Amino acid sequence: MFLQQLVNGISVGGIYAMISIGYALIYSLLGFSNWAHGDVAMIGAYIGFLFFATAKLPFPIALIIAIVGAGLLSLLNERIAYRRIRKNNSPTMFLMIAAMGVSTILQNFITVTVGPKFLTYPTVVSVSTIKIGKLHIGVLDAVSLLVVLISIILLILLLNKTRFGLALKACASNIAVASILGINVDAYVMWVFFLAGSYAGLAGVLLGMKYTVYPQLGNVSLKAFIASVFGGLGSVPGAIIGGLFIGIMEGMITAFVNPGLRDIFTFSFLIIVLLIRPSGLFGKNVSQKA
Amino acid sequence: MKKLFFGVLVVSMLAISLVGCAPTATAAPTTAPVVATTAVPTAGGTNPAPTAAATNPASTTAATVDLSKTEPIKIGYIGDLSGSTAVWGQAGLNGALLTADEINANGGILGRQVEIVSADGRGQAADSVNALNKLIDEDQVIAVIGTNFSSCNIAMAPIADAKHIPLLATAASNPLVTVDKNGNLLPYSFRIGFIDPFQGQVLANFAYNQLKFTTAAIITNVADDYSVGLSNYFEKQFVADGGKVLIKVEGQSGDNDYRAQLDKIAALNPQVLMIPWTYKDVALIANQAREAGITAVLIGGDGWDSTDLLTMAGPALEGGFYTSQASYANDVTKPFAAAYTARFNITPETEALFTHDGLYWIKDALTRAGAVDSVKLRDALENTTTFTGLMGTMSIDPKTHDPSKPAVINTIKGGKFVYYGSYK
Amino acid sequence: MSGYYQGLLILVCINLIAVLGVSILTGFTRLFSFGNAGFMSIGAYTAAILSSNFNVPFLPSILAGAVLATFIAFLLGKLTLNLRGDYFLIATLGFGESVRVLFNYIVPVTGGAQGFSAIPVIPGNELLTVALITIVCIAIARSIIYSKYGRNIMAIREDEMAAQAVGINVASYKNFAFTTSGFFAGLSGGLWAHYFTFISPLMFNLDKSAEMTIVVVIGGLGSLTGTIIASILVTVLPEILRAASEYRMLAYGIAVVLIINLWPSGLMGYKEFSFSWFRTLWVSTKTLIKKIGAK
Repeated sequence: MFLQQLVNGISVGGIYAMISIGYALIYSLLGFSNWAHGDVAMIGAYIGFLFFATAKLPFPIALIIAIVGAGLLSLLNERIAYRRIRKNNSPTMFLMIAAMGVSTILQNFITVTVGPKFLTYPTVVSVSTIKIGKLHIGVLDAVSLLVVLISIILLILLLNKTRFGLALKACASNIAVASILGINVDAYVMWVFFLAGSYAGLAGVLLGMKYTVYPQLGNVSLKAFIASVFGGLGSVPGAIIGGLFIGIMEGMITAFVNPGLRDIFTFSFLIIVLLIRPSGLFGKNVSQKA
Repeated sequence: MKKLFFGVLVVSMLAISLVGCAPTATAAPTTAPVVATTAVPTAGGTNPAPTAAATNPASTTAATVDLSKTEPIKIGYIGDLSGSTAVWGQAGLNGALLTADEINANGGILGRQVEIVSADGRGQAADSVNALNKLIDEDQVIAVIGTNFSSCNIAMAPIADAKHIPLLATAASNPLVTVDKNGNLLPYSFRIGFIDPFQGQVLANFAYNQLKFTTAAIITNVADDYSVGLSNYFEKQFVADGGKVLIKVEGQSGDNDYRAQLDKIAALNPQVLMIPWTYKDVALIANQAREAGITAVLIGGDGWDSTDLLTMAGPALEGGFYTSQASYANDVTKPFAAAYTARFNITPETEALFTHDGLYWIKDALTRAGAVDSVKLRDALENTTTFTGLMGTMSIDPKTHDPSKPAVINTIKGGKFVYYGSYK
Repeated sequence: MSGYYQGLLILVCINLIAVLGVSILTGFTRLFSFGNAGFMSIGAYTAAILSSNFNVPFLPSILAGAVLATFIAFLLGKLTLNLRGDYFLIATLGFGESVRVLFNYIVPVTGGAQGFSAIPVIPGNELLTVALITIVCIAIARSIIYSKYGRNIMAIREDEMAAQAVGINVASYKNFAFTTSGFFAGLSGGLWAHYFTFISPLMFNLDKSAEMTIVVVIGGLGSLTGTIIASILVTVLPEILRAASEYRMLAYGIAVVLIINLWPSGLMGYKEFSFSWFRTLWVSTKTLIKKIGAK
């Protein structure tokens, strides 16, 4: 039973992790948590659905369009909603409020155009179960876990082994100095948003396939945010571990404690983390509001 | 300067509130104060006929709508027209419009045309209350049909009582919609569908007596009073019949992932699994249950009743059963369904049958009452001994306003809903 | 005035009271909270339980609700106010959601998801009672803003370090603002319960908290008048625009993004409605006309 819940938790946690990565990337550059990130994932799910179910394109193509589309959306988001605030040096709270506004816009845009009905992805992978001893995992879950793993590895390679990644880390470390050193900060900000958005888009398609597509799909981003806080805001490895941890923890509480009170546990856990170690597992030392 | 401004603000707010308040009579302690709609003249136009002094609210002075004989009878419809369950609300409205045209083509009610006025309750109590107030005060409806959410109707009931306008809930199945928690009847609240205790009983009896199952498991949506209620009633009856509920697990709509709970159920291997949720989650749970290795027969309540369920759940639900209001599987509804699809280009939901029957019920009651008067309408509704609509024949229990009508059980065979039987 | 408009006015007032608290917290202290609906819920259920089950009269029960909400706000503030801005936001969000989840769970006390019904109505003339309470709340809010407390929290808003440097006890003033917002929200919740006579945990969810913050942003951070105007607009708009209700939320989102980008001070900015504002407007209009005439 415990092992089975572990497997369940990892499968959910993997998707949290994909979204947390986006939070971590954006936070590392801009120091704020992009509230609208989950909704970018949601749009990714809808784009994927549009091209796969409606336009009947082959699944891999629809997937790529969804990923790119979500990335572009995220980029646009930054350009339209956040850039001005950033340039004006307004308090970071304004960015969060703008993000909240964007989130409302995205959700309601979908509601008024496509409609609030739940949409189901046509089956890509058969709805069957793989059995390993006493454990079982759905084929869809296994595949999505694999996809998550591959994309995370790619990301880590990108960040650590390329010049692009190096420049990104420079920006993350100190945006002002990086720009003095001649790095085109604005361009990198755009790249980061694109990257974060594409991961969110992928997560969105996976979520859509697992759970149906609907405008509030992005609400899962709250858990992803908690995961990235736990792992350390701004840290990609932290986000991954945080995502897995939260997924597993929630599964355990649902199975062994009480599903009705699960959210209280998750939020209390968050508060405890914030009180004891606000920088999370791997985060930089977070100074109080200065 | 600031003090002056502040003084002006206070005075103006006081002025507004005083002007706004027509002289009211403080009501007898049970309900909200009755507001006389006559004292303040409405913009030009027709004033509602002066009622007898609105000082005796507990009696039967009605908000008699003063219309000349050729004016239409306005009946309101409140539903979720724009939110996440708009598919039901829209269906209800469409059904009402279709039925109103049919009634008008056949001479209307008491020689007058029927006009449907809709208001969006968005499935929320606050919006539904506003919608009801608007329909009664601004649009002067004589009765209101709606909603399918018990929480909305519970909130609207005091207003219906205070303003003497009958309110006919469609699918809202919580007993508290017509009888409050202290056991008092809410005189102007009615409903067209059966209540959850009845539904739970029927399901339990069916599972035990017909399907011969003795072990069951239940998964409940703790965030939804419908689900909680139905689970309780099912369990009580199933145990009373002699069955055993092996395990009850909980979840919340929006979690999307119920594997943790379902694994617990799988370990105990019950013969039947009760899933009293709304169709979207039913599909998710069913699929995940099969993945978890649960082979039990799946059953549920009228929350399953949507054409979307089958698209979303695929083969996981094959062989399942659910209770429902008498619905489209019945041949008698075929003409209506055809007319609906022809006009609105979409297959109808059960909510449309509710509004259809609701309108015909009001017609039947008004005809018995003999006058277009909301109080007389209420009395006639309460004393309904037989009314037959597309959803079957029903009679009203004057003590609870609950209709006694059979529940239909449908099964899923070959990826389609198939009528299985009618049960009392 | 028909019952419909009366009901609308009452709803305006009830929402306004809660938003006043958020205005003090967010507009004047710049602390963003997504959990104030939780305080409304606490106030609502406390008042409802007291007046339904224990026959406590109307005024004491809503005050009791407000006091309990205030107390819990105080405790929560002590726990979380030293967190950074966005962490504090998430903590309050978590609180609001936890209240909802908890009230769903403790069925014997709150009725759970079934809700709590048959709450006694507001005695006397409903509109008058609610309007009077609202006026009193506006008066309290104004006097806070124009007092030493107001000046201090505004100092904190502008520059927290500087405020600390001149000796303002930042932590305690922040908690003051937060606790005050809890009081207003709790009071509003009690009124809500007695107006609708039926409450359920779902009524006080994240959307409600977010809506309150949106109202303050649209009305203008740092302006009570702006908050009042925006609150009236936001409550009344769905009724006026019944046809376009689906677009309403979309419009709010767009409004928030536009406002926070272009006019972060919202409709009224840091100004309050006063006669000198009119005079300034009149003078500048006259000057403009003169200039155009001179050309």
